[in-house]
Amino acid sequence: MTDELFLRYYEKYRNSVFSVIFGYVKDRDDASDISQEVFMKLFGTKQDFESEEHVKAWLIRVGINLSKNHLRDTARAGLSELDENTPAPEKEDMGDVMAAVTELPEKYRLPIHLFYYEEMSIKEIARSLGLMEATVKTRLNRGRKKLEKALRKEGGSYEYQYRI
Amino acid sequence: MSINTEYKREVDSFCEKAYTISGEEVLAMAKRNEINSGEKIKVKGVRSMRTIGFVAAACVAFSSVTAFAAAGAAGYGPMAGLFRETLHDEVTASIVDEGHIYTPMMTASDGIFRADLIAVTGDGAAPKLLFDFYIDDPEVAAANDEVRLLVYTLGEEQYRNELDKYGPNEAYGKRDPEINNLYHVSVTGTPFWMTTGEPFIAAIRQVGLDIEGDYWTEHEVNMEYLVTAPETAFRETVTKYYGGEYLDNDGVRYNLTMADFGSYGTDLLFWFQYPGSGEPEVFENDIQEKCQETADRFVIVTDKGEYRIKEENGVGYYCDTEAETGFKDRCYMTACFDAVDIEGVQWAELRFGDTVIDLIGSGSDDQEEQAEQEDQQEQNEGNEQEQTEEDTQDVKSEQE
Repeated sequence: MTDELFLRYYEKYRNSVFSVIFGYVKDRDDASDISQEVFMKLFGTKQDFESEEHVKAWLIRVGINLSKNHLRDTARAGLSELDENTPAPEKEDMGDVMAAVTELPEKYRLPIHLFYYEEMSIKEIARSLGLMEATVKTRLNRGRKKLEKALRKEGGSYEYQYRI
Repeated sequence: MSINTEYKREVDSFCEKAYTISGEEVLAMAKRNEINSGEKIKVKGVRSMRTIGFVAAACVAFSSVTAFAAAGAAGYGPMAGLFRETLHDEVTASIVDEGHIYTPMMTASDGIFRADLIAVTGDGAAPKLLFDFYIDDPEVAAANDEVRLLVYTLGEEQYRNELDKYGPNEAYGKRDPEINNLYHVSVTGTPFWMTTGEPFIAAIRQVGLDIEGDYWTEHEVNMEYLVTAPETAFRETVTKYYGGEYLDNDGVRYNLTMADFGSYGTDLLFWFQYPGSGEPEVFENDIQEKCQETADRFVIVTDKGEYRIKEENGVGYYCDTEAETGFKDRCYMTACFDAVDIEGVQWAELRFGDTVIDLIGSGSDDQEEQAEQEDQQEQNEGNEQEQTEEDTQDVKSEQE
């Protein structure tokens, strides 16, 4: 991969990679380290990408894998518990909606993030997360309800555009 | 304001504040990392495809004789580099690149033999085990450029109580050019047992030594590893299930039931009715010939190219006369092709003479849905049969 192409992909997808990783690890330093690792892998990979969407899907999948590994290694080292018991992230710099999404349980958080931020289709989300499409639909519906409830508590009022 | 717009705005704003590393910095790190490949990468590792697994495993089991020349200086560096540069296995290297790898670092020994299980990776249809194998006897090591391992991968209960029902996988490893008694061996395991989240046993049971390059001596050993691979250990395959798709050949109906699109190959699974009576061994040659003749005429055609069954071990079969799969006297045939990137093609068809099966459109990701379709098909066939019998009765009545 040429330097120019790498830098272009980096600028284009850095937020996608960082945000999906942060959604897992909920720690900005860890998310930053893992994001760098993902892009370093991109530079070294000999994967034959067919399109920019393919690059993006690859980056997100690798980001998810590395995040899961990080959580597992952390749990194994006794540093923290997984998933629901992970300490709440620092909310500074986050808006209300992002804070509410970050507070959702992982099984709802990731589909919601990929749906609203990446504008992925249900099929794409299912593929990225290794889930059945029906499961993704259910999680999106339930996640959305939880999100609405949380935001209502915060006094927020938003239009919810559903394509589910 | 729509929630989409607001959420995007907030996430972008957060990322810009929280993730401040520039592309140039990461690029520089990536280049340094390439040069200094002494880094030990973190590990990972999943999948779960149990249904009909031991049948689908046929392609993998048959093709598991993999010989890899090994190099690499001290032990192992980055795993992707080991697979790519040393083992010349680009597919596995790309899987490792994506983080699908688990490094158990387990050691077992027996006599002068010692082996570290250093990696579990691959995909859901062809999981890999990578061993660093040592001969702790300088004279024996000096005499051997190559070792051959027979390795079982089974569930713990099957390994302890039913080992005689199963066969091992075979793999060869060559000596590391710098460490005289070290051999790197990559083994393709059995996917039915090597699932994530559930323990399985990998066991080296025989070591073959290459004495003077003209004959092997075999040494029985027992080196066991109880492994539970984590969720991300294996790259997922794309599995599609089918109901009601079939082709006929020479009086046998082959029902397409599953297609597994993996990184190393594409495996199609069919079932057909056991064509004889009595012991399956009696009909073995006949069944084998029928399967081979049928599969030889298969062509998978996509917008990106055509695929025929693999020349070596492209066809497998199994007849279940004991209802172990839940269906007595049902036979299964696997047809193995080179890897079809099913997510990268617009369309894919299996062609057999005039019969065309749409591998994408007619497949379901949901096995239950496929089973329902199959039941429906059987029910329809039953109704047609009943209707035919009723019609016959009516004709007879009219004649009387």
